Amino acid sequence: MIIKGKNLKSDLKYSRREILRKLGASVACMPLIHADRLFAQVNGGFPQRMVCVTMNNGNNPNDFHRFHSGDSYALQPLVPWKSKVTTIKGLGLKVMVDQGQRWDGHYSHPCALTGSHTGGNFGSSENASVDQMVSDHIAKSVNLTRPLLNLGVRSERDGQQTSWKAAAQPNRNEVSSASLYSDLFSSAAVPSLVLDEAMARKASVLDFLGRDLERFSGRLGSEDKNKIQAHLTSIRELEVQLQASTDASASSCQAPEVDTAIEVPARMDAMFKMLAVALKCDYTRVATMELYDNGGGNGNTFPWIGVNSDYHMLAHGGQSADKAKVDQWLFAQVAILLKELDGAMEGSGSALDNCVISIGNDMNTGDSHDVSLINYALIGSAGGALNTGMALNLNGAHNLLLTTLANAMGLATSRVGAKYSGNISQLLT
Amino acid sequence: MVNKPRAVVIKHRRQRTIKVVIFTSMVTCSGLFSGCGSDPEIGGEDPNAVALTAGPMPLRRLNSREYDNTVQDLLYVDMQPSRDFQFAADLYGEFTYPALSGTISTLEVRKYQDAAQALASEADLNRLKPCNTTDENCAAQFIETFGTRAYRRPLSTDEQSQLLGFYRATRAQPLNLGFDDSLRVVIEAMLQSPAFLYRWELGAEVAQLNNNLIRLNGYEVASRLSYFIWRSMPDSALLQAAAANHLSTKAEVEAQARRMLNSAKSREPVASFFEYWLTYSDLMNIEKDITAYPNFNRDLKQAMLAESRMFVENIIFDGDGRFRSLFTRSESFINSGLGDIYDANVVGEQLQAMSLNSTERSGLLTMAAFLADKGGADGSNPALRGSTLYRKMLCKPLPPPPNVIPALDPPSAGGTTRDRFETHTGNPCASACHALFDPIGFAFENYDGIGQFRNLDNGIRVDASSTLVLDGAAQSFDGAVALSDILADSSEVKACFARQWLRYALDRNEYGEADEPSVDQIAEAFVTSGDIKELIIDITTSHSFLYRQPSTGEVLQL
Repeated sequence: MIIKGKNLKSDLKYSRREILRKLGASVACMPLIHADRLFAQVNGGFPQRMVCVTMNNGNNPNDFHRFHSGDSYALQPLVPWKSKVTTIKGLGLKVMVDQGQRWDGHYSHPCALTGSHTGGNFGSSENASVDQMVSDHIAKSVNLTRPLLNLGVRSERDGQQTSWKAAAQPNRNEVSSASLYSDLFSSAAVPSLVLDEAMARKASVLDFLGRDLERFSGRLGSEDKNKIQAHLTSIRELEVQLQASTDASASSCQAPEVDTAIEVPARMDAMFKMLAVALKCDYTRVATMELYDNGGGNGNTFPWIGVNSDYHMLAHGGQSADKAKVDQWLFAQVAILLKELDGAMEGSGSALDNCVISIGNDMNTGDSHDVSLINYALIGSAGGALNTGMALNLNGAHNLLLTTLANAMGLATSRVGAKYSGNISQLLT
Repeated sequence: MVNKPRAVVIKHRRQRTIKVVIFTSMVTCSGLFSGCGSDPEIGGEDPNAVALTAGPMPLRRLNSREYDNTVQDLLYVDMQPSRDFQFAADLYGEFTYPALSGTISTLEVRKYQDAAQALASEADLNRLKPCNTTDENCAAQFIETFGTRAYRRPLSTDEQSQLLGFYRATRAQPLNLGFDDSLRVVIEAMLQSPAFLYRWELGAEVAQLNNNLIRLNGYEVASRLSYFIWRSMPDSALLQAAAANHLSTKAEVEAQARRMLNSAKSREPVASFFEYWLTYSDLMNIEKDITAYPNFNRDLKQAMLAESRMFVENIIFDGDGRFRSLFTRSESFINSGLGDIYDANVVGEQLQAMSLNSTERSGLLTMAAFLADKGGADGSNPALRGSTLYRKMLCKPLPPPPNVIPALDPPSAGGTTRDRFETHTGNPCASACHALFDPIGFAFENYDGIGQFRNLDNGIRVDASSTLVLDGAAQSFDGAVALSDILADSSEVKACFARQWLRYALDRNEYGEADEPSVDQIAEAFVTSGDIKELIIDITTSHSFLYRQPSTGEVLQL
């Protein structure tokens, strides 16, 4: 099913604030917002964005870190943007190693972007992930339609999430490209007046639900109260996002022409293209993408590149040609995003220059489940906040990278996660 | 003297679900709380009575199937919102529904929002409205009657007035909606209320405490019954029984459970247990080597699932309902695609009753759904099949795998799959675990990656002979048909089956020792009878089903 693109220039005239005021909405519905978009003051006023991609079943470290000497097979699709790419060797999930989880690669997703892990095979994070932290930080000054976009392809089978709203509160992924298209772009087809009424109706329902949830929580035990509290937080977020979607600025936003079929190659392509549009049009500035499940699940093959073995079994077969083909194909999918972003001019650079895309993995190599080393690649300078084009050889905890990303995106924190404060000075300008 | 209601906050130490905890169970009522339960069969002084203990009931959301079934029953619509709006997947792990008992995420709340809007506009208002006028009086009546069904219990006065106030607001500026449209917005709001979405039918009623346990009230029992047996909301008969306090004795609960099992609504929920139990519920997501199995497409996968489901339903609801039959019967329901797998001559897409070759096919474990889901991409997988049955049919836990797992030799190295696995698991790091479950898996070596029968593997004759210690004795067998026959008669296996069913009913694992008395009671009866419907009935009248522990910090009105 191909959905053709539409021009999404919106020109709503009603003031949502007025409507909410009249409905007697609570203060939480109207956070501190400016009528115009507030862009971060970097690179001529264009916003910084961050995308955290997590792949699975490990890499070939030798091949991976030969990228800048010109000789990587798996990272070959990133060559067109070579000067914007930094590879990082020597970081690992030290917090997991410290607590005896060195070989828990299949269970490491809760740690990937949070820098913490509660332990065990079905553990959680102990804090919000860096994408959530950066998204929350941005939300203090600007109200985006989607403050955080969590996406996945074949990511919801055996594993855990990489994005966490808070300790033990995972952010689920959108894995359906059709659903994402509808969510991001469908209101463009609706006449303004109808849209206004729908928005007003939604706002009143959300307002009711907020009070309803508070009442419901009254007699519950503490653990169950937390569940309702999380639900209430989500309702508040929807209220804020509703406000944002009706305050849409005049920036022209062409919905992409994508095939929203469920099959993986089409779905990957669609997801990355839609993500590119969402970033370029400032629907969102922070996103995560999980590619394939962890948890050691079976039943993933790649016939479109001639790899018919099960991915997990293949990974356990060592550094084979087929495994390398899969790795390269996955990097080629990220390259779809890079190409779209680099094609959009933003001041003296491109949207890609104003982004940082980080690519990590749940383990070092596919056969060992070892998390003491993870191979990272970063693309983009986040609007000049990061140095690029390096092959870094470090020795430390991945928390440092997470903190670096947060710092680059304007969040002055000294630590992301349970331990290991500090950032990577070679990366920050 | 009238006992004034007073709030009691429960502050007992939380027990961990995994560790075994010694739980002091008391058969007699504690003097700490006023009065004992009214049911003379529960908590009496009979030393042979089942100890009165039960686990907690954590707040959890409706899963996708429950959501779809519930909205169909509630609103008289034909929609499947979980599919239309692509709800985030229900993640099942050992029946603990971790994703549903945990916290909701904003993506999911947004999807509920979209679904509620669509459902509200499709709802059959004519059937839902209890009155014909378009005044506030009728709106209030609507809220009350719809509310009782939507929230699965009567609304409190506070809830009633909040909803009426919300209705008023939608009629007024700026929304200015007409009567019917306002009712639809009320429906839209209620479908997103936690009282609808979460399984916690806590009403205004005073909690009944017995032995520091709460006896579920009528509405809670009604919901537990209907979500267990129908995966949907209580029907009007159940709600009426709850209203009249006719769910307070075991006999009353049993009568309802039997009625519900006799309804067609129980077939799919009961049959789907088997997909979760034997872990082939994710079959649609499994991909295989298309060069080895070019016919393994969506249609075939759907047929495999449909076959197993129909097989199970037929035995339980239209046949002798015995555990043994599930693992020894050779009659199944297949179409042409499945006919290719089973080497049977069938024409057409519809599943038809068919007798299969009894030396190759004899029950669930020799059917395509299990074999394919637990098969390899291009061949058998004895470790996967064996470990699944080790955990799920013998209820035995597995330690984690070792740190570095050496590669399995590819078929080009020669030998059968079994040969190569035996070499692999002959490694000292592997044998501790693999010795436990590979022998079970080797029984399935005659079945390839999608369940087709084979006598040769990599050009060499298959050896499917193996041994297993079961019920304290070593048993030898040759092939999956023989293994199925042995498992079908095993007390150990039947007891494990009963335990798994209780987990399915409670939507969680056993809680320390608290559920063990109920497990023992149910298992003992089932080992003798092998009757699956009676197993389901026994679960509904057990302490674990009818009672719950208060949760830490919970406020009870006494």
